Amino acid sequence: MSEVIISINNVIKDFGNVRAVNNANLDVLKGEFFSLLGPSGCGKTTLLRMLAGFELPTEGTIQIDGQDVTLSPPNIRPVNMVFQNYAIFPHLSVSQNIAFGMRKSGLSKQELDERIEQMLELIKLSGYGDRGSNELSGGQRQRVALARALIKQPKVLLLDEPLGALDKKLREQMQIELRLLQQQVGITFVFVTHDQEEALTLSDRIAVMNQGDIIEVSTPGSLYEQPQSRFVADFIGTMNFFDCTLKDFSDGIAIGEASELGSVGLATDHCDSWKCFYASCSTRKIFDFL
Amino acid sequence: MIRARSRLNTLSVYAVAYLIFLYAPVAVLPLFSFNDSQYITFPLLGFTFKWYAQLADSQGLQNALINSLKVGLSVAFLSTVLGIFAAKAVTRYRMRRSGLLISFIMVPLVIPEIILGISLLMTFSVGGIKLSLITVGIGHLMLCTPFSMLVLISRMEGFDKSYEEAAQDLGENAWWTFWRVTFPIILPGVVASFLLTFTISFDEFILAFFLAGTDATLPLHIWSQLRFPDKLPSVLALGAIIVMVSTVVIFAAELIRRGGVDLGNKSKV
Repeated sequence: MSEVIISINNVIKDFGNVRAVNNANLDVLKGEFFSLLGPSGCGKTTLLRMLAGFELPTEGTIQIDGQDVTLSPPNIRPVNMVFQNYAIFPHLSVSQNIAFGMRKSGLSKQELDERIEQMLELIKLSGYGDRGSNELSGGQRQRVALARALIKQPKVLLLDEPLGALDKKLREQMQIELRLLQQQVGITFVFVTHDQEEALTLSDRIAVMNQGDIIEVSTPGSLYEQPQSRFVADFIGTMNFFDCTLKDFSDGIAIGEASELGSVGLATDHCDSWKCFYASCSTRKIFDFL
Repeated sequence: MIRARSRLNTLSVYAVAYLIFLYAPVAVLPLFSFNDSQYITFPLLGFTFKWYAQLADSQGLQNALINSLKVGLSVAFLSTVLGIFAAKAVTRYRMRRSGLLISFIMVPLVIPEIILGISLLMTFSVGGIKLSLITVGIGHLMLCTPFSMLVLISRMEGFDKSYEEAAQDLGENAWWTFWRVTFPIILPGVVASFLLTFTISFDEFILAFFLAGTDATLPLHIWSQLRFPDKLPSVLALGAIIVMVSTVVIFAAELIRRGGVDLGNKSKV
């Protein structure tokens, strides 16, 4: 569980004069359900596309499973992707879609058919193999996209807002299925989303991004309870902010004066009953953020 | 209610009149091609196949037909291939000023063919290139490639590039991605482009008139036959056949272009 499978080092991506990703450093662990969370335009999809190989970093390196893949084309990377619109090939049936990536697998026709059948079972679409892609609902397309990627047994599965096109009810159902599926196949998932609730529900760890920067990487619990910055606190969940002046600081307790609340005490190494900010060393930081 | 109906009637009358205007002259061709007289006058004298039979005997006509088929098929193939390249470049790569580039490539569509013909003739004579079916083909290629591009760009724009990315993601290189994903999806556009450019080349007269050497294409042959009054009915017969074949081809092209794989996104073009 603690083995690093993806290592992103000092990665910068510029599109012309626009910096989409600014000096990203990130390790994703083997078997993790890892989410990239942020508002639209924050660079999360660009970062994912650099992992898949559709964009090349302007600077920095990317390693997957110990191999430097920074400049490798997408077709030789040990990762597969589930696209936002699923990109189910319209001219192929469900089975042909799932088998698409297996041309060079060396499996016999019979072995391949068995594998496809297993995948159809895994995504609960047994008997749908001969359907055309236009006969599928949104949720079914999403599952076919999953099967098409998973049959390749990738080291990492990349998912680009795969639930974005589904209605709320189906979305919640698919979240559960996705998480169960991930636990079943044991493959590392890197999941891009702008939906806070979705990220908090599904992930082992989350990287919160904003305007090209990775702001904070942590577990859902710690992001929610002890956000390290005002942005994260504001972006995840609903939060009250009070302006406050620092009066005193001693023994790990900061005393502040907020106009609405009067005197406020803050422990700097853990949270008390109300959701607060955690600051590691600088006392000024607490109140700047607050 | 009554107003609406009378308005509908006016429109129907207009539509019928327009269709008659469009097709009556064309209908004259087959009508007189079966008439047992070499003069184009009413009343019709009798039904005959002899003008069609005469066609089969004409060596000049058969040569011209073969020449036109050679030029037409080569031009259709080459312009469609060029059209695919251009459409891929325009729709898939981040190109600066691609709009300007497209306008430049479309210019042959608006230059009068007679000007195009003269300028090509001058170019060939300056370059010391002998006029032949190849020079006709080059002229037709200039004329047809923009049409190919228009048809194929609209087809390419209609499908999301994530299909191609998905193919790459699943392990295919650019070559296999093209043949396994791009080509099957744009196939209706490819067929439509092929048929359209073939028809344009097959019917084209002005450029061929300037650029042909001793080998005549079919339109040139027809033009040369018009000087002999006794050949006129068999020209009509030939015309009737061409109109019929062209119509079938264009309808087929349109059907195929509209049909094929439902792209599932954006409006079909």
